[in-house]
Amino acid sequence: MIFNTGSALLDAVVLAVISKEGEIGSYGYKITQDTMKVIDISESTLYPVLRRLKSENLLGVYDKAYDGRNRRYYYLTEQGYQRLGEYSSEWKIYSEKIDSLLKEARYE
Amino acid sequence: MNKDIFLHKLEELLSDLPEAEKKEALEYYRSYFEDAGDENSEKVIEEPGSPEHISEIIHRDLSEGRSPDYESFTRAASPESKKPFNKKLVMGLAIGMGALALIAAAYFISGPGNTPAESPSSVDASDVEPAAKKPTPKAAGPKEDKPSSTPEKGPAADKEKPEPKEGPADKLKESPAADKPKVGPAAAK
Repeated sequence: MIFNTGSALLDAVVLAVISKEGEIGSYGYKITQDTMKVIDISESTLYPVLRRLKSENLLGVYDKAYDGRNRRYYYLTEQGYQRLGEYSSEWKIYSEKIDSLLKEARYE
Repeated sequence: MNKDIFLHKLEELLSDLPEAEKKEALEYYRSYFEDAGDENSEKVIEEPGSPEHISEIIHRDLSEGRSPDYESFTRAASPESKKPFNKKLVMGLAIGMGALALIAAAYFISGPGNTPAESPSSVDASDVEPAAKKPTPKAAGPKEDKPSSTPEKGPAADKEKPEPKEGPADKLKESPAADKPKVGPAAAK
């Protein structure tokens, strides 16, 4: 991808990806795969993002037994949903401006 | 590099972090490799410098509270980890200079204007010192406290429930998810 993903946008994508799983939430591998479908991140570096979102209380975690081991699930907290809502409306404003500019631009 | 070497390397790089912090990271990657299966794990492991990169971001987040930018996610790691130290230094200097200015100001105001007979020096001293001293304890550690590791398990969600909605609620109209308060893991357990 030629556009850089700033940290706010990456946070927004990760929060949105997890939010789609509802209150059950999602786990590291799945969150990573889902995020990689949208933006170009290196596979191993999503953990620091999850760690930070958790330390900011935007994500909560719990462990669930799976296949004889523990899998850690991440879910959005109340604050997480609130932040996602803010990102969503900010993004709408931003992307509409860029869209209309690119539409009106002259390409010759 | 195989899984074990990756994990071992990461453990080494994170060895200066609190135990809980280190354990959580290692468990994340252990679990990740299990979910990915051997073939996909290879991909993760083959990314050059992964453990270093991961460790660098975690360290930076812990010292700054937040990564300034995630450009580093799609590029090679940038050696910017010295930032927090400089910031601290600059803040300390600024506060120190402020204190000096205060002392000087207090001296000029109370000093030459008053004759020694009218104001005994002890009064001057008590006027000057508290004002000048106040900023110094702050200079000792303006941004010292690291975020402590947060509680691990789910039940935190109960706490969130009673909080009333507030703030930018009007902004949230457009986001479908934002309306429902969620009680996290209870249902899934």
